[in-house]
Amino acid sequence: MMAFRTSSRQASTAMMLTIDQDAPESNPEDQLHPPSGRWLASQITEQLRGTLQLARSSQTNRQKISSGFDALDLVLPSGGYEEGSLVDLFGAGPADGRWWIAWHSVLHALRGGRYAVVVEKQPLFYPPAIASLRVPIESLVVVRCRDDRECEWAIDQSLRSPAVGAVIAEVHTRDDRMARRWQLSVEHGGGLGLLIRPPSAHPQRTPSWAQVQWQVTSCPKGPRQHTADSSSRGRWSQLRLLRCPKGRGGSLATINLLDPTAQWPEKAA
Amino acid sequence: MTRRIACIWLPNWPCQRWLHHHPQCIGHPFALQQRDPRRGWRIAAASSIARQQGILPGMSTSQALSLGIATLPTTKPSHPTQNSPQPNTTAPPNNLLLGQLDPDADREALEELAQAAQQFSPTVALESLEEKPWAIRSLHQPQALLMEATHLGRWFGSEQEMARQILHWLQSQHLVARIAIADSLAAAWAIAQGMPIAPLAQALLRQNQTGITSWQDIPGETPPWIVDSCSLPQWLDRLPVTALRIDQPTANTLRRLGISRLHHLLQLPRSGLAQRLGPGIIRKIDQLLGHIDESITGITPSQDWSACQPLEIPIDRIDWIEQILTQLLEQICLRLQERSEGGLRWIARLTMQEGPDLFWTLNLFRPSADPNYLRPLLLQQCETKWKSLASSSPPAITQVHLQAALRTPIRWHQTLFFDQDTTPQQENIAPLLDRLSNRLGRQAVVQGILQTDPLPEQACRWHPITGTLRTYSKRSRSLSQSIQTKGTKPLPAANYQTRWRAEPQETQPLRRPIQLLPMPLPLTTSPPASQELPHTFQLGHQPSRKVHQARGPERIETGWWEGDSIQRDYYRIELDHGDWWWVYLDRRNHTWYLHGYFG
Repeated sequence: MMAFRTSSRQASTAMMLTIDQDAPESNPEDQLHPPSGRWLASQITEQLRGTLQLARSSQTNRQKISSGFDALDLVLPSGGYEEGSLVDLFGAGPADGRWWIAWHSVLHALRGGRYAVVVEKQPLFYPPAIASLRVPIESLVVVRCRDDRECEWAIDQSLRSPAVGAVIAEVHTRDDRMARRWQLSVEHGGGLGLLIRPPSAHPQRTPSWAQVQWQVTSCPKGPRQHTADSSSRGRWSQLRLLRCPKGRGGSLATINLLDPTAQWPEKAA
Repeated sequence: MTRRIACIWLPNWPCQRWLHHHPQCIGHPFALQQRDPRRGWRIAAASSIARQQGILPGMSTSQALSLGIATLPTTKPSHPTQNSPQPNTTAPPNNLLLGQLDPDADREALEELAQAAQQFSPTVALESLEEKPWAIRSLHQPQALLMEATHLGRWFGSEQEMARQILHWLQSQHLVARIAIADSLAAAWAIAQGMPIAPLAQALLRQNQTGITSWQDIPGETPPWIVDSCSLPQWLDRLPVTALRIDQPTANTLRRLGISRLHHLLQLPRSGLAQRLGPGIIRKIDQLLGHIDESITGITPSQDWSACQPLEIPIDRIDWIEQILTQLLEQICLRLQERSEGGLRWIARLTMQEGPDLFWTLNLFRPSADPNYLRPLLLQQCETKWKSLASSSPPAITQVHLQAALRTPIRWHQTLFFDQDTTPQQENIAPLLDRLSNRLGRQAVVQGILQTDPLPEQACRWHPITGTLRTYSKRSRSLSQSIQTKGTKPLPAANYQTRWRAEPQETQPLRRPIQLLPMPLPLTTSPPASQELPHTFQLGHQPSRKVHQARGPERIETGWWEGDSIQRDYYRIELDHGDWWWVYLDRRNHTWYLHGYFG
């Protein structure tokens, strides 16, 4: 049953194994009257149907990881991120709130004593900041790489580990194969990969196999519906859902980074 | 032939290591400070130039700063484990540079040096410390290597030549050392440590601002010192009494009695000495004279935990070497498994036919005695090292050696069958951390530990995860808790005020930035040189940005007892394009700096 949990590719492999194992035992009657082609086809079809149902049901039973913001969970079709998925965060500046949004998701991904891995090229990460999120410091591992190639490898290895609940990194890669590799790794590990794209990255020109993509824009003056003095009560960001599994792309959500429970969902423009 | 021991003393080892990692400090007076829990920041070690200015170990940092214009480092270390800050070398040459003493890093570097020194002797050890620090040393940490030198002189021509080669090897690494070879460990140690060097050498030391000198070029009695049993009394006449490895109270008592030289002490009756100073002083004298033998516990573990394969014909093929390493690994793992132990640190050594040995260390997060698990990790580093060698010349290996340098019992945790969430993830994270650490380096995989220091640069210390002995309890799953027992100061949970200063609470989100810049970046403001919060900020050549809203100031100051004063007014500002910066006004030079991003 667990073999069907990760991907359709593994599911098909398991299906073949099942057919081999469940092949009818040879007996003298069968040797005298071999099964017809139609019978074999119906058997294979039944097996295939059962396998697909199993794979589908296992996919729907995947545990959800909250994004950390109610407004984002409302926009996401499954009410959060799925385990074993990649999330891309595009933005325009180095301090537009994407790291803070990602760390809110990390908090929910660290279930069962899992670890969070931060992969960085420059030693910038500052742990005291996330203490206010109740992220356990002892569950954080920081990997400092010398170049982009090492970063890519470290991200891949971390995503593949079942003990890692979340990997958070700023990635500069434009390699499609590496992006696909990350997707397979995160499916294998069952964690969450939060990839902060550099400000120069364009969503349509960046190769990515992420399940969810966000475009983050800062709103210094707060949401449109709110009054003018609301801006003094929070830090507002508007997120556009660029890609998600069940086709809600284009949805907008405005969130207050200081108050994750605030809900300002907006409809697609 | 009697036993021969060589002692290699690396004077002022913390400063020498600091110079090795910070060559930009050469020519500047610098000192390493250490925080005393009761007396605040103290100078732990000082360079020769700083000592000439009167800055001596033991004095308070503020006192040292009053003697010289100081430049307190303000940046975060670039290296993960280099907790000591980067000094500001743009200061004038006479300014005092301050760093932070790191005894763990000092010991680790000395152990690496001992590993490399095994090219001269099979038994090399770090000097073993006693419970109380010695009077002749200001620091209670090893600073000398001990080497078994019995019968080794013939391989180098003579003991003098052997010592000269060791000195030459150390000088090639820009290290200053003093070597003495004697019949007993205590005699070699006393002569290397306490022998006064020639006046010309002292003058050269004073003139040489780099702290690096060449003893061989100095005429007169300079290292290396080769002492035999016949001439030992003549040497002892010139040694101070503190060369006997006695503690400070004993040295004070002897000084009050007017005994400053060893030969004065040796002339006194033993019974009186024991009665007045205790039996320990008699044991020290006997060790010095060779009446009591002292053993050297080499860094190479016993035969049980190491394996060696000498090769009659030197080989130069990596696949053969890997095969030999695999066999040695299986041998050691078998012995470890019999005792339910695992290796936490493995050291492999390839002895070259020509040139220095090639060795590498494999540090693990969790002890292991599984050859299938260890083999790929070990061989990966072997290939990396081999490639770096093969680019220069094809090396010929005459011996392959493997040892489990650090061992600890393997702990087994019983897991619940149905409850997957309670499975200890430490068991599962180990392969990942070992792989990362093995390929990227031990210093690249780190974990942060929060400190109580309000200065942002020092609010978090980084420690490598692998290769560290830790003590797990049933309740404490966390790794950092175990690391904190090594001497770092943990965050007190009960003290609300200190905890509030260092760790933002849930009610204060975004009080500290998620990204802290290693070096604060100066900002251009409008109006310029404003002491109030400016209207606009400009970073480098980027467009000028207006301040949309700001929170602050949060003043962070350091006490006078902590060295050069730091006075900063921090603001959390939101710019017109939505970015949140952490900026501060340096109240000493009225300049604005960008120190972090709120991600």
